Amino acid sequence: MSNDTIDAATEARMIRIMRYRDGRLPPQEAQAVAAEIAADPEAAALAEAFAVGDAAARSAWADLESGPVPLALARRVTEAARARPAALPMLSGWRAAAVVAGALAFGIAATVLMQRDHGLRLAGIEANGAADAAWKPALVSALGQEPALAEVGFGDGKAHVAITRWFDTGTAMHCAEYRISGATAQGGGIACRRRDGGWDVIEQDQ
Amino acid sequence: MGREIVALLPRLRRFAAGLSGSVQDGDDIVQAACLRALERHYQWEPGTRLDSWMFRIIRNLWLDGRKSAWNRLVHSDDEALAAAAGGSLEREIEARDELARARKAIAGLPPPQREVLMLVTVEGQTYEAAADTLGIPLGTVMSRLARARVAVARSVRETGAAAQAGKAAHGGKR
Repeated sequence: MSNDTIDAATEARMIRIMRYRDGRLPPQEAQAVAAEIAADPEAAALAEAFAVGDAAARSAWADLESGPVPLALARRVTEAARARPAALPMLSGWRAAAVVAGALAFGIAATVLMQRDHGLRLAGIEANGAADAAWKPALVSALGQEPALAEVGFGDGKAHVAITRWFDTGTAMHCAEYRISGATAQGGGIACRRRDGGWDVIEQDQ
Repeated sequence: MGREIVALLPRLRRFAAGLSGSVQDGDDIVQAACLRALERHYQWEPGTRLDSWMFRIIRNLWLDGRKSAWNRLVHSDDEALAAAAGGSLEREIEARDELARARKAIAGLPPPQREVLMLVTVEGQTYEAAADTLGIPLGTVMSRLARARVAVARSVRETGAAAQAGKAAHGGKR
């Protein structure tokens, strides 16, 4: 059976079984297809093929979704976004103001936080070693209090990390914007949750 | 919008690699798509899904690239493209790499089936959302999706069986 020469009846059957597998059939039709699969080896083979095809398709490029983004690519996109202030009206007014104020206050454009030893995705917070800034454990703790706009102190107790906003990227990806205030550390950034439940700092002012 | 797009990068890379058949080509497309999205940010309707909009841009860039003069020169037709995508994978296939078999199976699909498979099976879009993203009828989505999944299943089985046979011929050594 070549892929190009499937007759109409066969195609209708393929689609019926596919929709059954995908849970897209009304209950009554679904029962009929379940019976068809149980009774007919050819129908069962088709159902099995959908399962095998799905598993293969999902595994093929899964490492790109779970692995690190090349730094050059992430940086190029970040810089392009920054070079186009016209994109800022997409953000709420206060947010745009905060970005501008932040850039003025620190005098340095926000950059993608890079972790040389671990590659990038863009940088796992918990992967950072002892040499790390004290704000990171505070950030992890604040992120753990989702959906609150939590504020967690660190260092001398006067410094703190504050979550200022939670947002979704329109996908399973859940992110938080945060600000760091303290004598030794200042700035802010964006952290997003990984599939494994950990957090990545996507972007960090320096 | 820049930050939201950066957060989408892992999924955009997966989608573009699936379409183009290679990580390198996919990343080139993703970068071009992100720059285009930032240039035309006003075309995105807030409240609609940013990922679907990005997928559409990536898909259009990929199709444009396939039509380009350079691409026609390098890949004379679909079969050549699939062969090129698979060619660099031949050694991995000899290494009995299941992943490489799955990638080759996807690269071997006709492009219209490939894009539907990537959107629905890999990205998890509904049939309806994929029809909207691609601008094609729902029935066409289902037809292409069913064919794509069966073809991928057949391809991984065939190459898997070939790998098994090769393994046996080499005394079962890995």
